[in-house]
Order: sequence, then structure tokens, then C-alpha cells
Amino acid sequence: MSLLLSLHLQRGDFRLDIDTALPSTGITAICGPSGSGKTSLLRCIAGLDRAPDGMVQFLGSDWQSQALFLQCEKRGVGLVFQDAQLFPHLSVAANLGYAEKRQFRSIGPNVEEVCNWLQITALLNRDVNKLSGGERKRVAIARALLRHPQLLLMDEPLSGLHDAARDEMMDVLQSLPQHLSLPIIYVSHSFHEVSRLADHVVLLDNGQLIAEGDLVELSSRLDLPLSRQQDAGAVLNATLLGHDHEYQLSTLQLNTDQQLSINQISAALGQQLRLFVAARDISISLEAPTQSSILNSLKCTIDTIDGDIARNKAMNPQVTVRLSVGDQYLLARITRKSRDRLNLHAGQQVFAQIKTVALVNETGVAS
Amino acid sequence: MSDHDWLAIFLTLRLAGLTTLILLVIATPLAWWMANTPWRGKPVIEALVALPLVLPPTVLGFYLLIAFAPSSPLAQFWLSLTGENLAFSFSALVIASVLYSLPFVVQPLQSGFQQVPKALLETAASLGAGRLDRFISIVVPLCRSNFLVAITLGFAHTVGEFGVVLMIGGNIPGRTQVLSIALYDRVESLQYSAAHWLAGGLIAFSFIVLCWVYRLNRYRGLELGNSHLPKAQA
Repeated sequence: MSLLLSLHLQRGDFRLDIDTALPSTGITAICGPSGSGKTSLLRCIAGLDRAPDGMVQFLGSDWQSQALFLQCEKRGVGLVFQDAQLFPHLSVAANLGYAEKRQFRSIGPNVEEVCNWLQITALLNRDVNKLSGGERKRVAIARALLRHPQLLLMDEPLSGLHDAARDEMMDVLQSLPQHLSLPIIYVSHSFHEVSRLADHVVLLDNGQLIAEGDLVELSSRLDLPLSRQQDAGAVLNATLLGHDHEYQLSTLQLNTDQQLSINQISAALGQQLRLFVAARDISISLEAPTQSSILNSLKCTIDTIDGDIARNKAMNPQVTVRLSVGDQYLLARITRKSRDRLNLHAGQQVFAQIKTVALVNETGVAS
Repeated sequence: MSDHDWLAIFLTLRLAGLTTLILLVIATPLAWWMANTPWRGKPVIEALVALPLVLPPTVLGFYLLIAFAPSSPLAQFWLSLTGENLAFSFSALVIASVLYSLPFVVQPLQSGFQQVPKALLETAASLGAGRLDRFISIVVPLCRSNFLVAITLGFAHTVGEFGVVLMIGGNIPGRTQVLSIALYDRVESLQYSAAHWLAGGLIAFSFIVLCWVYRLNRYRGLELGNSHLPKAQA
């Protein structure tokens, strides 16, 4: 834990109150609805905004304290804005050169490596004003990396991209940690997007930190607004166990004695995988289903049931059920009527039928 | 054209060149400050800078005449600093021209500076560029045509100066007799053919300069957009 923050900022009606310590390794996501203060927080970390009497400390050195405010250019942070912000009077190569000339430290990748990672080698001589949205963002990330920062800050790097470009960009971002060990703070309004990238998550709402912790753990907590979102779901860790070549399926081991099948993937056996199971893709039955087209059925225990009452105090037609599978959790969204009809209650043993399992990330190397 | 005329032409060019140089040094930080300050009193400064656009040049000339009089504190200070009398000197012309042409240099720069996106400068800061570095590496190239317009207008406007110089110059050939005054002299002494050369030359010069400025204005739209010529020409 080595990015210490104590930031209190009043801007008209909006108030930011953050006191926390973020990890200095891996990808940390700052997630919350628009207007929740994500960008303000990022700007304070970058040194672009100053919260009076605030404190920012990175790896033991003060960036902001009572006595000192280190300007952005002295902090050694890489910054990727929502809209790339390439310098319009410079070519792609010169944009990269701008950062290279002003490197924060000597250790780090060179232009060739960065261009390979981000697949922009072919763009080097292009006019930045003639790049597509996705290309602009990739160049912006490359430029930030060439600064050789000690911390990379990204503000909604996927916003404004169409689906194909988003997927491409996501692949690029997911591959980054393989190339360099750089702590990244990633701001996004979408937990789903974050679930593919981050290890550690900070949830903001209305300028306040409402939860912080491991992505897998936060994803299934019913006390957080995440579980109320339309596309709510749980993130699970699993290990690749084997392949069924006849049916093009792969078998995954949850960290219990239970298994899941997914469409065949090319990863090596033993690979750690991260899965996302949407709450609306799970149905609950009291007995093990024997004659069903659904392959994945897990024996679970009901942990909690919540969501009877919507935020506007009206009764909800649906409830969210938190199911424990070993030491992991699933979320299921079922109708309130089904809950009452099956008399579902905490502690009860049930079977979760899972319609779709999405592979979100290959989290590590094969072990 | 007589030697006198050539002398006036060279003096005018020297005055305009020096004035423009000084104006660049003064107007650049002033315009940057005006483009960025959140200070509420900014309109007052803006109005002060723009005053020469609307005042008759003789008003400015009158007050400068008083300020440059040998007994004035400014003239005393100048004397102790340079050992030179300010009244009817070339230096006095330069000071007057700087004040008189200030808005013509400040306004194009200010409007250019205002259009530089803040996020670009923040990005440059995140890439390690300090204040001055950001100004030189981002603002100047993005406002390149604003600088060209400012330089051209500042220079041309100083060349076209008459009223202020008439009030404070003293019409000393080789020292304070600029082109516009020399022309006035020729007309007064009914030397119309010499007057034609000077007047026609000035028209041609100014026309070419303005064509150049408007051309810059047209093409700079590619960079940051919008016109930024001063609103009025006194």
C-alpha cells in the first residue's frame, strides 16, 4: 500500500472526500457513476488540481503535504486523457519523441518496444489529425509510457470508441502488464470494463469512497450499488483443467471440487482464469437438474438475499441472491415470486444453473 | 526622392523594427496573463491596453509630451539612466510607439493563447514539460500565425503612425522625422511629386502587409480556428 491519499475538495455543490491507501503495484480501478469524483481524484493524484490541505504520498515521497505541492511535471506520472490529447502540430513520431526527450527516468521501454506493444509502428509518420479514435488513444498511451513514469493514470481510455476498437484496445491494455511492471490507476464508469483489467477496485459515489478491495470480493457484495446494476454479476477465479476436443469445450476448476465448461479456449492447462457470470444468467433450482440443456450447474449455499426494495422505496419485482460456492460467490437475479414460491432462504442448499460464463482475463502464467 | 526622404524611410523602418521587438517582449507575457488570469479586474487591464485603438493619437501624444518634458520625473529618471534627454529623441518615439501599437500585438496573441486547449498543456506537463518548456514547445507553435499577425500588425501600425509622432517628435531629420511626417512636410511645402512617392509607397506597403495578414488568418483556421484581428483600427 503505497499511494497514500487524503484529499478533501469542495467545488460548488460537489464534495470530494478521500482518505485511503492504494496499492503501488498492478492495476487499480477507480470506478463510479459520472459525477462521482473519479476524474477529480485522478487530477489530484496527477498534480493538475490541488485539494487544499490535502496529502498525496507515493512510495514514501511526498507529492503533496502541508509544506509542499509537487507540480505535475515533477511527479513522474504518465497521463492518458479521455480524448488522447495528441499535439496537433507534431507527427505521431514527434509526439512520442516529445515524451522520450523528457523521460522521468532512464529505465523503461524504448520507442520500438512501445510501438510494438501498441501496434502503432505503421502510424509513426502519420499526421495525428488523420488518425482514427482508437489509433489516437494507442498513440497517447505509447507517449505516456515513453515518459518512463513511475505511475500511469488513465481516464476512461475506452470512452468514445466503437465496439471493435474497444475490444482491440482492451486486448492491448490487458497485455500491458506482461511487458512492464508499472502501477496503473484506471478510471472507468463501467465495472464490467474494470473487471477485465483491475486487481484492486475503489468504488466512488458522490465524491465518497464507498468500498475498496479485491475485485473478486467486491463484485459479489450485495451492500454495494454494483449488485443493483442491470448488468450486475460476479467475478470468479478458476483454473483451466482440460479440453474436450470433441465438443470444443474447456473445463475449468473453481477452487472447490466443482467444475464449469466454457467454449474451448487456447490457454495452457493450469492457467489461472478470471470469469464473469452475469446475475441474470443464473437460475436457481432446489434439486440437481438432470434433463436440461444447460451444462453448468453448481451446488451452492444461499448466503443472502437482497434487493426487495428498490432505491426509490418501491417493491422490486426481482431480488438478488448471493450464493456461495466454496470460498467464492455468485450473484443470481430471480423474481421475488420465485423466491417465495421456492421458499428460498439463507443457509439453504440449492443448484445454480448458469447459462453463460464469460472469460474476462487470463490473470497469470500457467503454474 | 531626396536623401531626406530616404533618411525618413530608414528611420521609420528602424523605429518600427525596434518597437515590434520590444512589443513582442512585453506583449507576450501580458497577453498570456490576460488569456489565463481568473482575476476579476482583467477587463480594466484589457480596456487600458485597448485605449489607443479608440483615442485620437493626439491625446496620447499630448500626455506623452508632458511626460517627456525635461522637468518631468520620467525625463529626469531617463537622463540619470542614459545621460540623454528624452524630449524630441528617438527613444521617446520608441516609447510612444510601443504604447500606441500595444493593442495590435496583444490582441492577436491573446486570442491565440485563449484557443490553446488547456488539456494539451496539462498533457505536456504530465510528459515532463515545465511552464516555459510548455510555452515554447506547445503554445508558440500552435500560435505561430498569431505571432506572425501580431508582428506584422505591430510593425505596420508603427510605420503608419502620425498623430503621436507629430505631438512629441519635433520633426528632426535623421532623428525623429518619420515617413508620415516627412510626407506632411512635402505637402505643406507643395512638393507634390515627392509626396506622391512617399504616399504611394506607403499605400503599396500597407496593402501588401494586410494581404499577408488576411492570408495568414485564412490558413490558420486549420490549426486553431477563428479570426483574431483587432476590432478597430484607430
